[in-house]
Amino acid sequence: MQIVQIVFDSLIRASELGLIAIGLTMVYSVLRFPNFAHVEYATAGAYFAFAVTTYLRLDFMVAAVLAILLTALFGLATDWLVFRHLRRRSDIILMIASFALSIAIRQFILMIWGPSPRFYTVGWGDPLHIGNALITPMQIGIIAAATVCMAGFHLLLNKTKLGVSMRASADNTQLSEACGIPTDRVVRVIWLIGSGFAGLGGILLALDTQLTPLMGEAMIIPVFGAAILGGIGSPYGAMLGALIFGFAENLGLGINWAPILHGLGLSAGNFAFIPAGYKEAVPFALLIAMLIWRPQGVMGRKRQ
Amino acid sequence: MTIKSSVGRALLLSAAVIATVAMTATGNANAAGVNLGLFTSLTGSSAVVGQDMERGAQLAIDQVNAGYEVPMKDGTTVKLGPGLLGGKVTLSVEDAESNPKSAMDAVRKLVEVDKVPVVMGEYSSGLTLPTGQYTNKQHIVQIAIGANSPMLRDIGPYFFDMIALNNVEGPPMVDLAVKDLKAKTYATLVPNNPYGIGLQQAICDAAKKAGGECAVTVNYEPNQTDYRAQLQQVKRVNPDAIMFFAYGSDATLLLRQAHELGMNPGKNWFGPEMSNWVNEVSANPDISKIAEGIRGIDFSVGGDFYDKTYAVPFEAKFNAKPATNFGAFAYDTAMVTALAINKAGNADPAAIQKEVAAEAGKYKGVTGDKSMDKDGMQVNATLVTEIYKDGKLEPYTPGK
Repeated sequence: MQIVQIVFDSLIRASELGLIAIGLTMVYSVLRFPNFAHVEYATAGAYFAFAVTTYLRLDFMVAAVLAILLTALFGLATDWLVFRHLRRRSDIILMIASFALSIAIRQFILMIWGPSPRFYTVGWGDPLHIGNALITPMQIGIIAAATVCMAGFHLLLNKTKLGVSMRASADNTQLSEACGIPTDRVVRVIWLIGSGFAGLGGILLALDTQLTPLMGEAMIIPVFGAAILGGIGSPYGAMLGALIFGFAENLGLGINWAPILHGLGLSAGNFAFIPAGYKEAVPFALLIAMLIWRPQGVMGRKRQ
Repeated sequence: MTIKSSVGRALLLSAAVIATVAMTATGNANAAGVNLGLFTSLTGSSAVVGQDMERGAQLAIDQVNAGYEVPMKDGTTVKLGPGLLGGKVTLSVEDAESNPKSAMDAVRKLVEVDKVPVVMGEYSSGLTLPTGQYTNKQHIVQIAIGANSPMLRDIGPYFFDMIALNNVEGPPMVDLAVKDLKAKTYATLVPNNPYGIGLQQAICDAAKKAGGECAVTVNYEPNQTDYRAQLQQVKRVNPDAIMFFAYGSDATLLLRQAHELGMNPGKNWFGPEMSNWVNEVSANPDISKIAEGIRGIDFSVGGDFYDKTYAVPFEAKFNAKPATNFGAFAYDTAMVTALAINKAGNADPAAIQKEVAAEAGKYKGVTGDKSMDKDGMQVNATLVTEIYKDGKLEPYTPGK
């Protein structure tokens, strides 16, 4: 088995998934609704960067930073325009509103940039050989960027007053408000950080693959799966969930079962893989098993 | 307001509602002209092909509305129009979004709301198979434009296909790999849908007959953001030839990720119906370079008749050249539909259904002979061998 290659592929996937899943789980932790439009912030971030590089002809790094800021503000604006007015309504109303918003964002992007795939003008670089595995400099950069962001987020949560307020609000909004924490301000910061992370996740995904208006829609199941697997509401859980998801997808399809089948006396050629059509079934089987064993997810806490 | 006038208004309103409902229920049957349905992927991975098909169908309908001498195989023409059944031909277009669920929604809307007697589409078998089963059950005619999974043959009497089924593609694909590489072991990398499964079966059967074998068969889900794990399965087997099919934007991602995993598509990848992805791949120079040298087969579309009858009017109308082969298949589909309605003399789906195969057999298609067999499937399967070179498909002679 090409274990090093599987590790590389899984880390790349986890980096892209993790950044998007963190924002999703942060918003959930405070506002208690699954924001289906969150994956579209990733698409929006990727297209913002594309627009800035294409129309303003700015350097890609500058464009990426601007795009992340724009996505953060965009996420906050969606809360201000849509979700803020629905806070006192049932979760189902918020969920449907987020569905509607996700369709609106996707269709708007389609209208502006059309359905064909687009690419940033950043070179990919030739793949580097590490052992018998291959990874491009771009992909190393993607893993590094995600790692730095997650480490920074960890420091923010644990070493700053804002982080403590965020954790307190996520844990018990009413109690933290009673303790004098300005929860409205904390909610705004959570929207900014969560959407910004989604924007970065979208840019990294587009760098690694391509820009299409449907890229967010294609990520919705793995992103939610990672967040739930790790424990919805827990940022560390989202990181871990993304890692488990990435490895489950790649390892599940990477194992050659032929020697085992031969050992059991079953007829098989030299290669017998789990059919690629079941790629997503592998992590979801894991997710179901996890929910039966530990309904709150790996790092989630039981709620009363 | 008096009671009398209130009653009068209520009666008037009721009459209007009843009349509206009655008109809606009868749909095309009593109205002048006819409204036809087209479902095609205007968005998603097949959008370039889908938009081209919309233009092809619209061109044919505009010609019929203006009055058109339709060329027939025996050298005669049949005058259609202006319009049909005493009125204008209109086209209701619904976006299939390159996915089966949206395709079903689109076709349900065309059948139940627009009340069309004929639904045209699609070119992806994954979208065509479930919609065909539905329209056949509803006794609404469906004519597929470019879908060619062998499973389509069994749908039923209201379903027709304007392209040859893909079991004809297996032997020439294997023949190409044998002539070029003396291939014995094969991998298939195809979408997990009826087209992909049918193609995979056809290739593996042909490989077996040629003394080879399919060492691995990989079916990927379209419209995803990562195909590394699927590509790894192909790479690890290290087959002599990789038989690859993808729709537009899936092809660009698969080729990029294959390159990043150290695979060399130009060396031993072979593609059936490469025109499905040539536009998207050639739009990016880096991806285009990766695809350079991929060989394959495609349905033969072109020549003087095609240019004069389709390509030139297309360019005049849309100010652009046809983007894919499938716009021309959509043109032929719309023209055969118009001929069948003209022959039936009304917009009753049962009457139109009786005429489709006969009219297709007489019509001189811009994509070749459109004759259908007893199941309504196109018989003609003229294939050409091609190579992807310098951003376009060029004729190719195997073994060179």
